[in-house]
Amino acid sequence: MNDENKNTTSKTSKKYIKISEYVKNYLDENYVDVLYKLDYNSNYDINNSNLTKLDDNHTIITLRFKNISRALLQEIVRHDHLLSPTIKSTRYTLKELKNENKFKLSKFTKEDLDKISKYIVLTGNNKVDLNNIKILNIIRDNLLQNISNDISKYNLSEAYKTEGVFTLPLSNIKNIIKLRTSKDALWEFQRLANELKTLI
Amino acid sequence: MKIVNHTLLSIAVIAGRTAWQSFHKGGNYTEQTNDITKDDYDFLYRLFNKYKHLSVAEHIYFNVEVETSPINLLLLKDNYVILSFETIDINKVKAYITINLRTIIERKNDVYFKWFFDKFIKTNIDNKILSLIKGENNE
Repeated sequence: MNDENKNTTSKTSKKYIKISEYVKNYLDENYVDVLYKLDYNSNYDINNSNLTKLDDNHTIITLRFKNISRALLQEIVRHDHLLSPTIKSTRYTLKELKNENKFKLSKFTKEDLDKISKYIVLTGNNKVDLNNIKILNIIRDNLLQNISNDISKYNLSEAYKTEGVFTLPLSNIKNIIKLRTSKDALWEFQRLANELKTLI
Repeated sequence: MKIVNHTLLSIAVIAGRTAWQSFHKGGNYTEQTNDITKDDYDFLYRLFNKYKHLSVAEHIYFNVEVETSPINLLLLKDNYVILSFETIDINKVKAYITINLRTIIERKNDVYFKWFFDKFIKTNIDNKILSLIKGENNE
């Protein structure tokens, strides 16, 4: 591994940290907001036995997923046909990278990694994460050379962060939780499903 | 018939603003509401009627309760609605319908859907939402 990434203190007393250490100790993100719950049954007096209690299909929930990678996004969108995703558009928003300075590839401070993790999901694997940071720099260069968003985005890695608003029935959310809290699910999906479980 | 409840309009605004990351122009609601700002209303109006970007309308769901004939329900069945019902007598069923705004906008003139829209939705819906559906801006 790169010597420079080791825990060292520079002359200016800046503390350098390894990416894996950052992911383990400093990365503090949440992945789900429940924006709205449309509950058919909440209008009924449950003591009135004449009324029908409807199943979870009629309870519609709007979620915001954030800090998720494009790898996770593509697993989410193929989950269900009743999902109604609205996703942050890279075609319109990729230009955000243009305003950043070139990303450092070594001697990371916490602030450096905060900035990097604004754009990509860090896995904690040094090699994979460094490659993804290189890709950020490549795309940034492309954009600065006036290659359009539509073309530049073909260099994006799966780690690039996105966010989206999803509206779906509670029954489908329960299905997602059931399937994706399993140990066999993608680690990032497990993380999201476990958070979802605490909210629903 | 009654519209029991529906998703508030600010949800569609937040979804739309997420796609274009245009929260500097609006969509910052601490609590969800139907009283969206004029900028946000115009934003939704443009999406639904000018750009036909109807995926944003999928975030608005209506819960509708209706007593009607079984035949009418059959006509609705294939219109992307979530449907539960109980039978009252041989000519009448009580239906609980969960339907999203996109379906209403896209199918409002469809012969198999129009009866439902004209008879139930049109007369019971908020004027603000109705003008979004019909593409008639009252402002």
